[in-house]
Amino acid sequence: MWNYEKRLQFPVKITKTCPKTAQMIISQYGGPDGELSASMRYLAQRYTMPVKEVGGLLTDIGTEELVHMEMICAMVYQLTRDLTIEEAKTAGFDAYYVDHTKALWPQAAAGLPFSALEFTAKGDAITDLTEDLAAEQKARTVYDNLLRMITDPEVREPLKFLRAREIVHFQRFGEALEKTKDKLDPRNYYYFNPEFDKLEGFPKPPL
Amino acid sequence: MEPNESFTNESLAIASVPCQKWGQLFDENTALTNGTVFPDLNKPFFVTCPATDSPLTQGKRSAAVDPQQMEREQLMDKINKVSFFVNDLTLYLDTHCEDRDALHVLTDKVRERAELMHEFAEKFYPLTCDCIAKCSRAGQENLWALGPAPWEGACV
Repeated sequence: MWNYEKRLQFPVKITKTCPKTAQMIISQYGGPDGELSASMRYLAQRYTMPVKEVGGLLTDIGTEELVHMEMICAMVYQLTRDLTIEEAKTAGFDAYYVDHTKALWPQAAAGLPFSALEFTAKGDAITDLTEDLAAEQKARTVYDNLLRMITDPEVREPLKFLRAREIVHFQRFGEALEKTKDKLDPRNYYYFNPEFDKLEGFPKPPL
Repeated sequence: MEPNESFTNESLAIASVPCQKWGQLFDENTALTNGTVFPDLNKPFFVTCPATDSPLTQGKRSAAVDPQQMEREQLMDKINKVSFFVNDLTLYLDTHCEDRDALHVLTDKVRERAELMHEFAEKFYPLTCDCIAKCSRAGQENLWALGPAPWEGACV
């Protein structure tokens, strides 16, 4: 289960309304490399992970991604809290406004709705951890792209924090992959799928 | 080949990431700003380097805040910093289960965090359901419902 803690992991206090910025960063809520996608990916993959510590890591990072989703939502909310109808019309927020007013709805910057098709749980530890490594890099690239465009320091500070977390998570998933590899034979990591083939104690391939 | 040797011997047709070794840690202030407690994992982006970017962390507070709000914000700031240490060390320990140095630091930070969470509940409002009993007006007021929502930016 989860317990709610009434605070953000990193403070978000944005004082200037900017629907254009909200329109861009909402991608890290509901976009293909967003925090919601990240959280659902890791929390879905953890059940069948053959190495116990890796299941634990997926739980902890999946939980942290939920916390990041909350930060992104807080940013979008604060950027549009005092939105006027004139701002909604001129700042490129018009289409979103028509469907959702100022409510938070998970979509990509280009308007595509959040979809579970954006991540996978493939049921093979090497495959899934390799996906997770790529996912952290994709999210980092999105934060890089946002930081090149956004100048308001009140928005940049939380984005910089979130970008840094992608790099830390990449390192941890790399270590998780090494832990999984340690259980397998380096002569052939693909001899069987440790997440499906219930073979006794990670057997070695024949010489 | 022994299983552990695979950590240092790279194999063909699979990704390899070196395992992080325990080392220096940032202080609590710097850790939260940088997004990691580990200087080894601090890899800033060129457009955010300190020379061109103005960090928010000092000042930037609204000019006239009442003393109670000031105190609340300062305590929240401490909680954020120590909690982030706990977060990042927890992930490190997920892949370094036996690391005693990390375990010692984590235990200290968890203790410190629990005390600060209780202090916040006593003085202001509970941040988790478990802190409700620590509130000075517990049993008389629905304090869980009273605290501000974090997304309002009320407690920076």
